[in-house]
Amino acid sequence: MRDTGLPRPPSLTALESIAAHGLPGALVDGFSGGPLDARNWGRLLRDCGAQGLTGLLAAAVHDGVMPVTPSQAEDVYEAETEAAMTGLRLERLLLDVVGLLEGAGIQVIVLKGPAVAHLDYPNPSLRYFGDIDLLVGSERFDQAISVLGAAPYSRQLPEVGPGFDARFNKCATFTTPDGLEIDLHRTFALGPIGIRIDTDVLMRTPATFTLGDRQLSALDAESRLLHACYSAVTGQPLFRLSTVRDIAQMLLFNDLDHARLLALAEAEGGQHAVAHAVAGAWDALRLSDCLYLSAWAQQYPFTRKERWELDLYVRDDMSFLALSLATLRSLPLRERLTYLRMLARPHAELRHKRRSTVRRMTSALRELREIDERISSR
Amino acid sequence: MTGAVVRRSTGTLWRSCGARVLLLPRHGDNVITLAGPAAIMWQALTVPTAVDDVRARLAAALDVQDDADLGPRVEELLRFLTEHGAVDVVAA
Repeated sequence: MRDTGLPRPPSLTALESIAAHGLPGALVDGFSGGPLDARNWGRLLRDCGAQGLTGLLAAAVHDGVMPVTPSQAEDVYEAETEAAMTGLRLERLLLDVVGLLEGAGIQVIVLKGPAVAHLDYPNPSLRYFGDIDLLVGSERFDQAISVLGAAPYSRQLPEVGPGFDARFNKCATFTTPDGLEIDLHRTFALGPIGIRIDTDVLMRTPATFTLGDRQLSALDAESRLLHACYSAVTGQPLFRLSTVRDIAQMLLFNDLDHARLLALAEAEGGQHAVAHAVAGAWDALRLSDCLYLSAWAQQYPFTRKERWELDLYVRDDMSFLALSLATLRSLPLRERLTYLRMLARPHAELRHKRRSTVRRMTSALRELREIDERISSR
Repeated sequence: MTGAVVRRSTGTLWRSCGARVLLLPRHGDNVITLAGPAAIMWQALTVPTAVDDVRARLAAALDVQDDADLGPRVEELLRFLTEHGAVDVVAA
């Protein structure tokens, strides 16, 4: 979101102001021009929903910071009600799913939306979410998939091949009969960044929060920030504003052990992801407050390999196969052949109907070569 | 319900949205919206509270007389929330 010198649509400036609402040191001022016109308002409302900012939009209006017309206030009321109702239903589902998994003796960590909303924001209504994300250790991942598969939840895509889920997969997505989504994670990202993360280490020191009549486990404060950073730089869309806000919220309000955070990131070869995410958050929200970590991020000396890894996630049409091939270098030698064999002959449902394995591999390698060329041309 | 002690059911999930509170009882299917005095009353039910005290606190918050009109309305709302599993009667 760097300043290009071109006029910016008022809806975009307002969106950034909403993402930064309540943060100390935020310089963006998208509310001073009075209520938006109908076209910009419609765009803003849509973008707030897509970027997970409905709660902050409502807060900016409730707090009297964002000027709106009576009809726009009505729109906010409806959008907030819808987001809150979905959030409550997802939290109910979360309690059910955690109950099922813990009942089977599986340790579960709640990730992202619900955990961040309850642990990092003063009011969970500021942070709505569209699905639930859970983390399970690699050793129990297959069992967790069986438990959810036996419940009335259907898995969206089958396993690539026997053994792939527990060793290489990022997550398995399930859908409830009424269309809610559960992402069961083994790690935080596809590709080389994700494969190096040792989630078992991150699960050893959980934080807890209460939801209804249950106490749930989440990652501790440093690991939550680490995960938010990985999400910002590997998720789709990249630098989703709710994730960017999470990073700023955690850094500006939580009492974090920065040395521990960086040690965790270094152990996973993820310092570049943290630096890129924190610098991106400070840039997107135009934050003026300089913290130890924001200063560190601005000056981080990215290596060529690190830039290459981060670039893997820039194209939103990067194929699963290209990301998977990019993972090869980060795997121990003995696992590379197994991995390649699984990718070459995936589950029948995942096979491309009109393209042979060789053509798919060639195309994926071309995607990776394009990244090489892009890095070289810089 | 006069004389009863009530509190939020611990299984009820809820969100405060501006001046409203949205509730989803643990075993209910429908989200209940409380607004105005009802939302204020929900805030008072964090801990076990006598119905008489709920009424008195609501009257104070609204700056109205704790009169014969208010009691039945508070009891009606508490009964509704109890029936839907959002509020528990912890002592009759």
